[in-house]
Amino acid sequence: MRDLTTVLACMISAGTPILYALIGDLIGERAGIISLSVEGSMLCGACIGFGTAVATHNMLFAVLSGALAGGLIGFCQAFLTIDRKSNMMASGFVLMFFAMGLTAFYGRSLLNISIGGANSAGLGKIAIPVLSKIPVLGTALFTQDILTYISYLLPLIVYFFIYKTKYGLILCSVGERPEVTLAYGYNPRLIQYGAVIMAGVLAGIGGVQMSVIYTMGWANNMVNGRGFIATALVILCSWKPQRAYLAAYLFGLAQALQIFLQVHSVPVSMYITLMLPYLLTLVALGFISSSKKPTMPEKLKIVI
Amino acid sequence: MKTKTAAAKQPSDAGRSVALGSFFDSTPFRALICFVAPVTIFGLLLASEGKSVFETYKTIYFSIFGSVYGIGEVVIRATYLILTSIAAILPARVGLANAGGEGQMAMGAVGTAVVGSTIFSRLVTPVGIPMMLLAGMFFGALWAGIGIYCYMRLGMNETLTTILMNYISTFIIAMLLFGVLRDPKGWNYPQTVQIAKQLRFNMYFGTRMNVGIFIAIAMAFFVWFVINKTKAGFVIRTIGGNQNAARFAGINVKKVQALVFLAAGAVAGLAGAIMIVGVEGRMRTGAGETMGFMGFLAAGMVKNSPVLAILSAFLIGALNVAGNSMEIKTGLPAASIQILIMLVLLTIMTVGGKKKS
Amino acid sequence: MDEVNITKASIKHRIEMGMRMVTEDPLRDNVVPGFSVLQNMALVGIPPERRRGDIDWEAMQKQFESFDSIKTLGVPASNRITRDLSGGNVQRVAFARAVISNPKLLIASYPSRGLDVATVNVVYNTLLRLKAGGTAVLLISEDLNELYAISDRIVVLAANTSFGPFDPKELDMKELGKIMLKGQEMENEDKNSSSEAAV
Repeated sequence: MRDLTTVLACMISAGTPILYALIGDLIGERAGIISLSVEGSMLCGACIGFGTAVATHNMLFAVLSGALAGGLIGFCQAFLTIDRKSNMMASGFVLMFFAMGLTAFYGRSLLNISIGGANSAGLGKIAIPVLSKIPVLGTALFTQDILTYISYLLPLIVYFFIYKTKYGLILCSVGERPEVTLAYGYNPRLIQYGAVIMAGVLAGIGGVQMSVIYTMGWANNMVNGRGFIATALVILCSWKPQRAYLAAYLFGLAQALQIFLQVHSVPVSMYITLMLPYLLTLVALGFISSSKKPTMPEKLKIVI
Repeated sequence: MKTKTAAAKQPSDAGRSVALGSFFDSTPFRALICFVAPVTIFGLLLASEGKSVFETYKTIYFSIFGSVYGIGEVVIRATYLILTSIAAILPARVGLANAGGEGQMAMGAVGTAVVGSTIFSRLVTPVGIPMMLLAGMFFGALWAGIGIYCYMRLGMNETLTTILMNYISTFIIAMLLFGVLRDPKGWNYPQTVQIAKQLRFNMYFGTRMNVGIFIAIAMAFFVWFVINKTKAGFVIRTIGGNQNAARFAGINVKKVQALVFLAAGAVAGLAGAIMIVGVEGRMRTGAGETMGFMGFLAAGMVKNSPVLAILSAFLIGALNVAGNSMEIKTGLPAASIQILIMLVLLTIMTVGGKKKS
Repeated sequence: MDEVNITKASIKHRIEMGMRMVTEDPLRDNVVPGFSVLQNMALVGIPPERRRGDIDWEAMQKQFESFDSIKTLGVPASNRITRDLSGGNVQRVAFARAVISNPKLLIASYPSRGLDVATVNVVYNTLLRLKAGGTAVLLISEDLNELYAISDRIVVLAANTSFGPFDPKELDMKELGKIMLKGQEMENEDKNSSSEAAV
């Protein structure tokens, strides 16, 4: 039972950065732009967020700095794709490597630091008063960090935004027929900029969670493909925000299992368990891809 | 590059302006910016961390041009990059994006290393080496085959699939190298047994250069020839030009795409084989890393032209070598050179892109 | 076609059997914008000859210059790039290559849509000439004037049913229109509504 709790808790914590990046990229894709750059945004967010956390021991500053960093990368992606007609995949790649170089360069001084003092200004786990006493689920779900709690709400907020508000409708129209958006008097270009920058911001925050909370440290290229996985998982969600939980925590589960199997010395090669998240994503993509066409935003059909 | 045609073809481009403005839109100016801007920005970054800009750039320069060994290293990287960029160019010409060069090259390398120390180890050089290269192509094509199968049968996006497979290939290779393929005499390093001596390329001039570069350049010209001067190439260009038109003409688009994708995987696998036969002699974890992705980017930089890719391969190869020396001399992590490389690409994308009218 | 069931035949097979097609948007459907006129003529048009592994472009150029129909149709010069041509010119290219091979069956789907008057004229004359030469022409259109001007038989497709064939000489345009509308009514129970008239 304790094991189950641990696995679940780990699943949630590991899934959180994916959830942020996933929801972020989903918003961008609804506006017709795939942001492979979220990988870069996550990395920059992780690096700068960690650095800020080390310097200030303040979660709010860390999050803000990470969001800013991620957003800047998102801005570059938006600029290149929208105003410079670059292939959105190519620019995403370039920005990813750019972020890798930047963070390796500026992150050198952060390499062997770990954040202790778990409860300084929201940096660690906070138990929610009543709910965390529930057996198993209570510990797993309600003894997490502040960013994870916020991430619980994100898909719901975005769901509400997309399906229940006028602005959500406008966002989706940009990804389907920007000419129509224009005809209604809204500026699709601005909306696309906003969506892609938002994707970067959210991914950046996800990165902050990864470095400050999950690993409590910084390592070069620590994101290692999670941004890509998040982008792939958007397809798995059929662009519906409510499915983000499933996708993100699926990945989180794979991560959690990897640690679990290692800790308990189960005789499975470590590399197979490390492969698990990527394999799982691949398999899940395989299942969903045959039926995805009806729900894919029109503007993405050229690329995917 | 694209800017030449753009400048020539549009006398009445509304966004561009008159006399003074037109200097800034001209191709030489743009090319200049693509060199000056990255170098300046990178210099600023270096300065911000208190590193001597002059020293760093001096190191970069001398690491590439300062010694025969340096030039040799550039040539070696260029060899891989030419091939991996072709691995991206071929599918791009038929409308697919192959981001799996990393994995395909790595699988080609591992496969070559394995057969080179086992099945082929008794073959004489004139027979053995071509067989090794073919083996690399085989394993590369195999790995690409999985990716294209997912695309054909399951409708999965080939870019995402191949990226994920790159990561998976890293783990598979690590698993093999730490496990069954580990050289028992290798002091526990994760590397395979050495391939047979006679199956190696010679190295020249005291560097690690080998004939691989000629193979790569020949492959680039061969691909150029096929695309532009054969009927098969006409079919490829048709698909790339308008898939509907290709189907209309009775071309089996899916079949051609699959074959081209497999060929691309084979070319990337060839890069892996050359790495083993020419330089490494065995497979170790991390060998050839980033060559696949950089090749992909090199291809994009030259708008998928096989012959121009030779140039961008040398450029990126040179910067790559510079990055490694930079680490040794200045203590900056080698990955920092990615900043410079990517700045170049970002500048090219910014300057070379079309303004929205 | 030729008493063979071609429902499942591949496109290549249908081409070999002598079927050709033109559509209303050749730039979208069947022409490569970046190719020259000559290169596009090689796609389901002038049969390409091989020379040392490549297409023999010189031989094709000679063929291009020899065909009367190309001159009649007013096809632009063979080295013009297709995306630079006007809509009418692109359609002439598409027609020319369909016509060159003396097809057994030509399917023309909204062939005159969006074209200038001169090209529309050329289109009609080509269809009539093909008919005279023994080609079966299937014209898909909603323009009743067009249909009445050149068809021998008209079939109406509406509400998943086909009505006809009707003889335009006997059936008044208004009556035909009513049949198209009747199909519309029948379809208002379903979602799908497209009434097309075919020859």
